[in-house]
Amino acid sequence: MNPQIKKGVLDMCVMALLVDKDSYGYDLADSLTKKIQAADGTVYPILRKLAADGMVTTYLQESQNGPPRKYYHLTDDGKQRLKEDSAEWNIFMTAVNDILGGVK
Amino acid sequence: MNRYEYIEALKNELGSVSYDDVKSISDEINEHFDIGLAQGKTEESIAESLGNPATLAASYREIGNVRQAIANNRPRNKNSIITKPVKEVKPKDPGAGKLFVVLWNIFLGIPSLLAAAVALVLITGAVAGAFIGWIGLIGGVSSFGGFVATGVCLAIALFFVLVFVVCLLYFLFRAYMFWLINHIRWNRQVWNEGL
Repeated sequence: MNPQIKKGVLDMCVMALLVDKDSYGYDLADSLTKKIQAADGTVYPILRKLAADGMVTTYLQESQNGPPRKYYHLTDDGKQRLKEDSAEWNIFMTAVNDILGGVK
Repeated sequence: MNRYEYIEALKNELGSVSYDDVKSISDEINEHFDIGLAQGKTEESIAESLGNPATLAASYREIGNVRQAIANNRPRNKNSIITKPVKEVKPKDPGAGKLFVVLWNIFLGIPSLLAAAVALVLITGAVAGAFIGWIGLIGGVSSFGGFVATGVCLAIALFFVLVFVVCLLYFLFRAYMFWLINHIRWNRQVWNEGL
């Protein structure tokens, strides 16, 4: 897949994974790469960029075993952006599918 | 590749990223290893699935200033998720910049710099005068008669006052130079790039 498109889509997917509950990097990497072919490491720069843009905030939380984990929380701005991006994505996908319709 | 090798390779590839960022990046990748190990994976398989460290480092570098701005709510990026963000460059008018520099310097810049320079010279002169006076005092102490002890104390006290004033003067000079250099730099920037 075109890396430029994939990059934007992955940002959106990471935000989508955070809609219902806060999560930590490993878990997000796991959920993402189960469905999309990408390296586990991909999520970390994305999370960092989202944090820099104010889309997510982070906090440390103890875990039952091992050191505390860094959790990510989707902010209101993040939710808003996700809403806009997914709407845009749907329009785009519909159009692309429409155009690709004839390709077998 | 084991954990140590992976983290080292990643760090090496991060290049010009700041020390704080390198630290926090290696922390989060270490956390990833910790959790993976706790789930029974090997360091090698975790490193494998993290992907090429050079690729990961490149993604980190791409963020530019990767310092995590946790509480920092910068204005959000309205760019489309599909198109690459286009940086808008505000057109600048160098003509206005040149005019501004000239007017600024005639009415405010040069007069205030000159006034400060004159003030500094006057203060330096006053301090030099006070120093000569102080030497005179030292010479005259012996003639104080019954007040020699008082005279010596006065001379010592004045000596410290003078040292203090000289230190103060030194910092004033440095502040002046700092101000002057910044003023010149700022003028040059406005001159070249406009307002």
